[in-house]
Amino acid sequence: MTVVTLEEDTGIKKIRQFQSALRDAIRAPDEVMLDFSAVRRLDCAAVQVLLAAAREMRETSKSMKMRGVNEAVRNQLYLCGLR
Amino acid sequence: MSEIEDTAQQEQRADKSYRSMAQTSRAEKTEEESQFVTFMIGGETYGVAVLKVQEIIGMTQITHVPNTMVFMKGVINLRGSVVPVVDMRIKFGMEERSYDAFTVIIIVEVRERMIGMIVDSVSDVIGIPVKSIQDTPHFSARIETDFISGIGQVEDKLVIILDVDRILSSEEMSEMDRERS
Amino acid sequence: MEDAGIREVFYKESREILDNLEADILMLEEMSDPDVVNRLFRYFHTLKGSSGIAGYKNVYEFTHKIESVLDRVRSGGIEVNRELVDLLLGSLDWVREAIAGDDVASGEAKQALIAKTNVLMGTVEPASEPVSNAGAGGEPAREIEVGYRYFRVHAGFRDDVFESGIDPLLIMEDLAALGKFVDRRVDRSKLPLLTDMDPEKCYLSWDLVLKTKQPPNKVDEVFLFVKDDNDILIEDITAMYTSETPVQDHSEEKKLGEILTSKGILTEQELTDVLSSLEKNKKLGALIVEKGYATDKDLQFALNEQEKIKKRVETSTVRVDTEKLDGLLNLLGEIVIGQSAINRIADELDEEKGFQLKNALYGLDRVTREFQEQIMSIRMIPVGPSFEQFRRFVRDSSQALGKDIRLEIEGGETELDKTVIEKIGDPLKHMIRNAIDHGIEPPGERESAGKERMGRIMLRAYHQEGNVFVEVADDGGGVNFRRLREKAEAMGILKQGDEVNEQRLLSILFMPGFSTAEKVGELSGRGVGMDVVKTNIESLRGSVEIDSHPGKGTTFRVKLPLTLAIIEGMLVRVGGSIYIIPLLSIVESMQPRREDIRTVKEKGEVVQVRGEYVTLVRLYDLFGIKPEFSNPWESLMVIVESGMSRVGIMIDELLGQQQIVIKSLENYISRSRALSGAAILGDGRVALIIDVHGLVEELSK
Repeated sequence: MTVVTLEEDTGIKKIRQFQSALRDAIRAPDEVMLDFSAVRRLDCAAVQVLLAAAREMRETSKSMKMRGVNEAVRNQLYLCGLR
Repeated sequence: MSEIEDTAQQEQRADKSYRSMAQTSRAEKTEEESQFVTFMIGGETYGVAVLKVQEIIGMTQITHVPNTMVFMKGVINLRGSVVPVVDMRIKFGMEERSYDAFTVIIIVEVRERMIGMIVDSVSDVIGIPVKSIQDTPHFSARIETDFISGIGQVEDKLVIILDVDRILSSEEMSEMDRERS
Repeated sequence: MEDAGIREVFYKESREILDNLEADILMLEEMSDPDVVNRLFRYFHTLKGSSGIAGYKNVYEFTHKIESVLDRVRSGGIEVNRELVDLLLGSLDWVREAIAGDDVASGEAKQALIAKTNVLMGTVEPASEPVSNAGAGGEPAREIEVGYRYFRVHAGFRDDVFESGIDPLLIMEDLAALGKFVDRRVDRSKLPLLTDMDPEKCYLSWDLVLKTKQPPNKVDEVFLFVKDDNDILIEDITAMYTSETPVQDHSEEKKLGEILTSKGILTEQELTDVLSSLEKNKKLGALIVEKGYATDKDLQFALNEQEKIKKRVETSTVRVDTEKLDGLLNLLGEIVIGQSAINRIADELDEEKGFQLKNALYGLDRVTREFQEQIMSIRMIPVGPSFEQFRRFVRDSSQALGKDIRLEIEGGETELDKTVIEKIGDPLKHMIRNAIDHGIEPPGERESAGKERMGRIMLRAYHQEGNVFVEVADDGGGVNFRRLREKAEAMGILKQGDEVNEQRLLSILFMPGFSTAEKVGELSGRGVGMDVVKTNIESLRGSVEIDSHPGKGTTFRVKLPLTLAIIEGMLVRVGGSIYIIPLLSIVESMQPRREDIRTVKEKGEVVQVRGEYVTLVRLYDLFGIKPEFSNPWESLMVIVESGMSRVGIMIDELLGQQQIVIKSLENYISRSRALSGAAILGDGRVALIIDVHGLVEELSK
């Protein structure tokens, strides 16, 4: 399993790193686990990248798992149509 | 109930339930009878009530199961269900024998579970007059008697009638339940 | 939207319960069986609980009465006779009508039934019984909508919006804080592929309907900094929602309007006009014709269209009995076996014919595999949606008790067999109810204990070694062991001075009729529930444990064996037998070197793997079979992990991994804890599945 650990300040400032980290994780053959433990909240840019990644994972029928998602982030994901 | 009807029913039932059973007995029925599937174990004829028998299949590959009762030979695949099979020779304390072309597995229903009985060969479905079935079997000391529900006589043959509900004693079943739960 | 969901769930659930009830009441007439009485009690108890939540106040009050009668029957205070059965059947009919909304005569019927219960209970209820307003029948208490406004919001952003330091998500959160979204659509269609996207650009837009008590300017304020440069549209549509007509009907009506506009019969403007002037109890169609926007004929055409759409929606799903799916799966197994038989024949044919046949079979094989996956996927559904339905339940029932509780859900994507999901709903509800009633303390108490005012209940699902675990954990006060003990002694379950550990004490909670609650609670506390939980879970061949720490909270852990679940398994051969090791438990496989094998006191044989000692398991010894290799350095070793321990299982050969459909193995078949079930392989053989956790436990004995 490939674990992608999100940094506390995952967002627009480091969005390109996050994009490429997710891109690499998707290319890896196994399942992807996103660790949100350090994240208090996300921004729109980060969520967009997640949405795009989730869509691609779905298409390749791989699963993307999440852990350590706090209530605020969960709510944000919900607002953007992710669960 | 007329005789013709009765025989027809019996044939139909046999056709449905026993894949390898060719013919049914047409013993004359002058009085109330019960139907039994008869089979051979160690030269003796045994019978189980027709309604208890699900089907009879030829010998198939048995998967060994560890840590079980000696007579439990393992499990088989019965059209997608995993069914345990019991070697009746071992259960009866007879010596083991290698399986041959006549060896069959009789699938019976015991307390809503399916269990296979491995027997030497299968004989026939026969009707035994209820009156001729004796309750107290002092006849064979070789097998546990609580397993036998009676001895029936057809012509000159003796049929030992088994109570399949007791293939596994309740202790055997519940002890196992306790062990693992 | 949510309300309708809850009622829908309640409606379905209660219909099932009512059917069961009928059968059981009739059984009671045949013979007075305490089990049946218990079951009846539980059914009414469940009905009571869920009708309270769904807002059927009448049903709630009424079932409470019947429950009291049955409680009396249970304790022997009321005899089971014809009269009782009549009363129960009558009650059943009444509840059925009340739920269906047939309310004309049911006020009288209810009064008659209550009179009967009073006779049975030997009490005459005070005349203030709220029967007088029972004319409302089973109509659910409607939420008071006064003061709410509805806004339709469209928010599309410039693609360079991030550059100005604006986070659209933050705006959406601010908007959400004003009220509740009753409709939420996120347009992601502009979002490019992950590789192609410029992550510094914004691609999302939202279409929302906000239900709020705030005035329009508050909603405007949220968009203050973005509304000029971006595509922001705010529309007050309160008129569409506040008339007496239920919301669902409106959406029906709206659809009719949509059809009319899409066919060019009505303009958008006209539709809005009609919708805004739509009055109570008036049909949209009639109004349109009245206003002269469309003719009767146009309307008929649109109605037909609407009917067609409805039909299309109805036929796109089919309810299938899960037994039929089981049957399909078993038949498919037969096909696979038949295929392998043909395969063997192909081996015996001459080369050319054999090759052709094999090729044809290969194609068939692919189809059957896909077939199997499809059938399995029909049965497996994520637990998420069934977990979600508890959110409202937690909210409402905690509010009713003056508690502040948040439900957190984790692992909603965990898939479980549909039948299993259906059957754990009730037990889970009971456990959550228990956590709300007895677990979480009132806010004041929490505060003085140095905790957050808001209590938390975690509902969590996860896979572990071929099992699915579902946990209900609260951060409340934990089980009061002293009171539990006192109660157990009072009930005669324990004698004074009996030495029992905490685990044993906790298991008492699952005994029928046991409850530590001091007052009869709204939702639980009558000593029904936990025994139901246990029986329901055990009927799924699962188990439930409680773990409780005073002051810290209680966790219920439900272990569910996947009767029909698939796991990814590694097929291994030991001698002539094939076993399956769940892939999830496997760390690695290797051939041990002779010099790395030691015998250590108390640990037995161990193998040194990168400086760590791993216990060697001679599976053939454990299972009593003949292996090909009995020297570890000749055989292979599969290292598996369970919890903190690792062991190395000796095998002869790795045969490759495969998706495995787990079939349960009845307990009496084997005493070994090292087995978790069996599977049928492609060639029709049965292979046993190794339970790594059980294996490790068996070794440590």
